Amino acid sequence: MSANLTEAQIPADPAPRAIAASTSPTRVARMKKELTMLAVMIGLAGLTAVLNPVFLGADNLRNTIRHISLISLFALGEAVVIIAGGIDLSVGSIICISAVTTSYLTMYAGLGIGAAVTAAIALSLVVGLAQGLVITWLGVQPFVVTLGSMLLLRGFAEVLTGGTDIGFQGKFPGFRFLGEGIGLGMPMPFWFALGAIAITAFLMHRTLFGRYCYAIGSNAEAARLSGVPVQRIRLITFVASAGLSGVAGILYVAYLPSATPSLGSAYELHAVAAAVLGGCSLLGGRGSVFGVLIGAGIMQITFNAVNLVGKSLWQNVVAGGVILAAVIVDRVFEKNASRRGVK
Amino acid sequence: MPLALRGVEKSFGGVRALRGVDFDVAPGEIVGLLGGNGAGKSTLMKIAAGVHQPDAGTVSIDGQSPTSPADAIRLGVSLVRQELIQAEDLDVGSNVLLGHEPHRFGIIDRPALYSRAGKVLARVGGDIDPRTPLRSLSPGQKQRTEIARALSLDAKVLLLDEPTATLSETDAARLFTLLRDLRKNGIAMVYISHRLREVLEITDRVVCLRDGERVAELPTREATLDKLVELLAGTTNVTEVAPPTGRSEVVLSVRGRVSFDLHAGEILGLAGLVGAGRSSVLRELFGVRPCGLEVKVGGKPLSIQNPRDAMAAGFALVPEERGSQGLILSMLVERNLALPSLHKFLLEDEMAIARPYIERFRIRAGGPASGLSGGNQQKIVLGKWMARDPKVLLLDEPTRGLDVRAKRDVHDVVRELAAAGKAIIVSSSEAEEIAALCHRAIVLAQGRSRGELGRAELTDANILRYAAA
Repeated sequence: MSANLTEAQIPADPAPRAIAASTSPTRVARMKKELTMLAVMIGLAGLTAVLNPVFLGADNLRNTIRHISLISLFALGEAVVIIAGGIDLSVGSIICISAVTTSYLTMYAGLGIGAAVTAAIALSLVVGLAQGLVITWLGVQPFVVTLGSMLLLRGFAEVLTGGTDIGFQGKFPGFRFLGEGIGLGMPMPFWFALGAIAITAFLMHRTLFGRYCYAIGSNAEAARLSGVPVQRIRLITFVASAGLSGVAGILYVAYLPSATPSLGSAYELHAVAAAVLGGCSLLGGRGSVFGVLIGAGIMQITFNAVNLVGKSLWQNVVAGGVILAAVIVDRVFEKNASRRGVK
Repeated sequence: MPLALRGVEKSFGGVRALRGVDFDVAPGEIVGLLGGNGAGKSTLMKIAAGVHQPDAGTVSIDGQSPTSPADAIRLGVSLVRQELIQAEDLDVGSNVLLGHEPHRFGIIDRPALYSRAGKVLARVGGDIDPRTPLRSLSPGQKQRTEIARALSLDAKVLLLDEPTATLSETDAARLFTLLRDLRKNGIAMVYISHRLREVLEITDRVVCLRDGERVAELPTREATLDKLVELLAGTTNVTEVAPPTGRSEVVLSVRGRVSFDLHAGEILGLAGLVGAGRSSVLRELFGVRPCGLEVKVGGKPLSIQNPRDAMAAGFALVPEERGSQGLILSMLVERNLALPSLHKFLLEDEMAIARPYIERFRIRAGGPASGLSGGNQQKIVLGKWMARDPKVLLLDEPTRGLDVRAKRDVHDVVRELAAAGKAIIVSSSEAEEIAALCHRAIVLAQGRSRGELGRAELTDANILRYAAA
């Protein structure tokens, strides 16, 4: 399509090819934030291992991996939304409604586990679609829309459960295996997360969808004027986030003894924290799948460390402190770098 | 003299914007400041308002030199800007006294605020209630609010930069009544405008700048429209533009408040002052805003709902704001270049799409577009559309803010594209640019076509004459 124009108009000019080819040093520079956070995560893990060697025990490691996997699942969805310039506060509530729906339908409505899981995921997707439509069609700010559904869905979960827990009481051992079990030496949620990571990384870094997400998050107006279907892409990000939260909710209920109406409280904030720690900017356009995994790792290792040291009441204090310290350190590095003229 | 500038010099990165300019304005006088784009008018006013410091020469406001905008305001010089910076969601009174609210122990004294704002608003027309939200005012009322704000700070000199560019005729008439009133009360005013009839109507004296130098000064009563056009245009000569090729084929027909048939290989100019409605024609054709024009492409009617429709019909838009609309500044150069051409689900090799343009324009790839000069950024915006091989190119102020060399480069590309058979529309507020680049031009004012100039009559003087109407 473009060949005739370019060949007709571009004079043969052998010299500047070298200019165009030299992209490799900047690629490392662009991953600098992720690499800084990787160092922070390794440092945290090292410190925890010194404070309590149990951290490195097989059981604890497996459990840590299980939780990092679960956090990664919904943090990935959140990150996709954030990269495209939005925010999703409904993550925790969708996790809960998905879990509660699954147990409710099996325990009280007599559905099989397969049907219940399908229904729960479908419900999550519908919620994501509805949120996305309100945001893109009516132009309501994502913060407000997802804040509304965060409260609404949490409330429905409470109504549905009557405020108490719904457990499977020994039913569906096959389903429980998805949450509790070990496959090929790894907790099962790890394999789900791995699949989600692979698919998201592919989508964000190798497809048009990903490129459009970054373009919209960086400058929605310029993206629209370049022919990017801005609203359609934004809609998809909210559906994707809700879908991943729904899957996470099902894995939680497969792992925990029961579905409680408080399941997933504040998880949307953990997701935002993981995304930001991993290099996402809340203004959009920045971040990577690799970074989000590191962010999720930092979050879970912090929680685990506080428990291992026996100060579980301090969990939120330390987690908050780690988030603040990490972003401050990153910002200080960046300021110094820009002062020295390094971009 | 409330405001006197002597021998003012100013350079920006090697470009000399002002070369030894003298300028003063007396109490109760309105001085018109004329000059083409880049003549140095805005720089001169920013120096008077303390925004820039001169490299050489002196600025004196009643004998004192301003060191900052706040300082200039304190000394009595206020700049009334084209794009007003106001708090839209606050009411008028709060805007007038923003930063100077009457208060007791930090608590705003609301009755005092509204009565004080009411008094000063009465001086600018008396039709604005200090309690109405600013958002609900017309552009003219907002502007008079801005003047009221300056008066509340005891302004002795008002610098008005294109004050009527976005105003309706009624609003402009009210503004003039106000300015005459202020003149009677001894306020000194500098009036920058490209609307020559207004300059003739309202000013007492006219100063003309060209390329950073003061080239003329005369009392307004001795001036005529032709005299002003002559001063502004300088020596006019028709530049040689290669005649359009493939003249027979009509690519695009537009009917409505602006009507034309655009041929393959033709460069059509849309001339007119700032606010004449040039951009909105291009934005409607590209589906950025609802299209109120009847459009036919290749003889077939076309409904354009959004930029994707326009792109599918072979249109490309180089928008007015290169930084906020044309490019994604934080994105890599090659990704910017490839963005409109991507269409497969799996990402194509963006470097392969971008390389011809990177090589041709000798641009450094691998970094974000923000790291490039304005000229190179504009070449990327052109390149990203060239990669799509469009039939119709819509160029909105394609060389705004570019230096002479970059401007020439962009013009060369535009001519080359026309020679390759593209149909091109160039919108520009610079009459010289239209005259130098286009085969013919439509001059717009108040959103409508005011006349069409063929190649033989396409001079900057003629453009100014139509646009001033």
